[in-house]
Amino acid sequence: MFWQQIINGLTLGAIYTLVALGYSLIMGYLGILNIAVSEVFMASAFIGWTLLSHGIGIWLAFPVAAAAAGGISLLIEFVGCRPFLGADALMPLLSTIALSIVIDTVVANVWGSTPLSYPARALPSTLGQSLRIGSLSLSFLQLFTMAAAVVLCLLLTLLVRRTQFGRAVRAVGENRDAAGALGISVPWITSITFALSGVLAGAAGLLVGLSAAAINPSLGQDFGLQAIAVMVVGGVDNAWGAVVAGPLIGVAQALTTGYLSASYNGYVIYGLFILVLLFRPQGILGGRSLQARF
Amino acid sequence: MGSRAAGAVRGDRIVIIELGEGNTVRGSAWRRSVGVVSLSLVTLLMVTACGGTTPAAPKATTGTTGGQPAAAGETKLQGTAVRFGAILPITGALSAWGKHEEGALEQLQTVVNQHGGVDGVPLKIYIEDDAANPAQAATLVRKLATQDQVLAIAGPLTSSEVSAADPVAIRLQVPIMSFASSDPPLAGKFLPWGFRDSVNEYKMAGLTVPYFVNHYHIKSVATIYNSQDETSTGIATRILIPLLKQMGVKVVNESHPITMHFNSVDLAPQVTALKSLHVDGLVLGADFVPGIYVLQQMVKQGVDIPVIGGSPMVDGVTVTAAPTIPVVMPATYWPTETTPASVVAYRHTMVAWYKAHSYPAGTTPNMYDVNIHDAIEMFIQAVEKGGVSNNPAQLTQDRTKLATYLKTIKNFPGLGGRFSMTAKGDGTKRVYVMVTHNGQWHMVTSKVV
Repeated sequence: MFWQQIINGLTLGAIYTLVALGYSLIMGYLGILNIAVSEVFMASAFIGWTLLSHGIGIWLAFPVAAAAAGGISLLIEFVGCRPFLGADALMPLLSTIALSIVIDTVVANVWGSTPLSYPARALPSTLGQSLRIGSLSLSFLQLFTMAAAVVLCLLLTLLVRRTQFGRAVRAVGENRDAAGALGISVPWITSITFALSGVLAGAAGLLVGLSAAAINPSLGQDFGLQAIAVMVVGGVDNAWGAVVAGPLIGVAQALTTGYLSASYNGYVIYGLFILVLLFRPQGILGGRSLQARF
Repeated sequence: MGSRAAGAVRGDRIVIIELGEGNTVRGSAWRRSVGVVSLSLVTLLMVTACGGTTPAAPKATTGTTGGQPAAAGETKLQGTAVRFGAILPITGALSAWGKHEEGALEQLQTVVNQHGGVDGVPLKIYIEDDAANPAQAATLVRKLATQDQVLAIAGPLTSSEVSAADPVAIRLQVPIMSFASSDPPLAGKFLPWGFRDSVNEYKMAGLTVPYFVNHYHIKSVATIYNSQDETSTGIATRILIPLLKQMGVKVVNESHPITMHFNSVDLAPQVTALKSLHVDGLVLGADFVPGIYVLQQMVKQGVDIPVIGGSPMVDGVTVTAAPTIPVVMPATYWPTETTPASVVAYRHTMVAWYKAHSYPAGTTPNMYDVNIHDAIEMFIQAVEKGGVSNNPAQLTQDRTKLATYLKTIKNFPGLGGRFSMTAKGDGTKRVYVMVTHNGQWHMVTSKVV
């Protein structure tokens, strides 16, 4: 059971990593905690369900759902963040909390709260197969989920570190006014960053829909809180921190559930969260502490 | 219209239609029209089945049913509306149920008012959403009792909500009837104001557990339950496990149960732990939302063992969640073409209603829709026969009369079957042992408990 729980935890952790990347892209570079990322993640799982239920193939549904999530995130930026840029950091936080409730309500009204399962035919036969080593089972979907987390993180790092856009994002993150004075379109960069954050969360939403038994509108609440923990534990300004912390928290959760009880998950995950805040506030791989961001 | 005349009109509309073999339908005018439709359907079915042979026409007689017929036809209803309240989880984790019940109540109010209301006075149901939140349920009891001045309240849904809401109802002295709570410790706890028209879960488990053990040759079980929900925890640990142990079944993880939470979506760790225990069956303490996650994860991990759950597992999605895994659970509503015509007709009516009101395709009435419908029908009967004046100035006395009537209600012909109130304020009615397998409901046995 131990190694199977490790595999379960790594898969869960990969989903946490992707959602956490959505958070940390905005938090780490723009200094805004967009609470609604978790609901974008949830909404994309439902958009993916609709696409797949209408017979659209997974390889098309995946980018479409991710792009739709990017669009929702863009809307959040327009409505919930842009009007408050330059105001107290609490303002966008509060407005995104409100927007997350709005998204949750919209999804519940459009798709209902009855759990929805992705159609069995949605999963390509290759991804549906499993490797069996003794009593251990590792599906190709689990492998794909873990690989997706690593690849997307790599792409994100390259984008932020090696491109003109990435330099602009970092400049805006350092000092909005100075970046604007240097000719960088701060609103444009902010919008694109939000959209990218949504795309990452959207990819995670579809992956969780494929791997979990069913989806419902409360999906975002559970994964969102864990993903914030992953972001903080890993380090808000380093994407690779989420790649380390996601599996760490996922495995801790799986082992706690398997050997103790799911009731102890809160102690383990948020205990770790508090310990990191107390003794390494910049996170495992982070460069700047949360406190230093404000 | 004088009080006697109003009563007489209403009395004239109370009809029992004998269908043969003990099946009866009681109806007011609208219910009689439903009965006519039903009889037509039954006739059509019989004609089809018998290759064109026309069956003998059923006879209709007048009479009364239900609890004490005291004061029938002697009190004129006053006021501009007969007000009842309803507390439902229209949003939140259990909104799939709450929205169903909201539709059932809207349909009931519409039909009753189309047929003259309650003794000529319009029926008004104040529907409130508590999102399955106990604190919200308690607040809404206060709102309905004091602001809306309702005679009685149907709801709330879960035992957790009932535990918070009913003490407020006691303080405010307003009758309240849950339509789904089945936690045994709540039986009689909130009398003389708190009732339930659902059946105590312990009584229902008395039917499901023997079937589960004997039919599937269960020698050992493990348990998974939602530790955030008191009812789910109670069903697993205080009801099913003791009954299974009484039958000699070994519970392998009683001291280290596997738990989950409301928002748990990825149940892989729980099912991996279950798989390692190598048991014959699973005791699942959950309502259907986290419950089906467990079932589907069991399919993914190839754990095809029989499952036993409580009444909160009963939902349409449970049927299709894991076709390869048999799931045993109790229900108090099982509509087939052989059940009383009123039940069949109600099903057809509600299917059309849900379709016309943009509910998801294929929506049919469920056990709790029927229970809340029956709760309001019992309230109406209590108003009609319990000497309620509906005079706003006599609200306190009217609520007392209504509660007194409910306490003694017997043999009420509800859509969920004949219903009688126990001394503890719970329901006695027919319970069906349901098994889902291969994507179908199977009713294996039933008994009045």
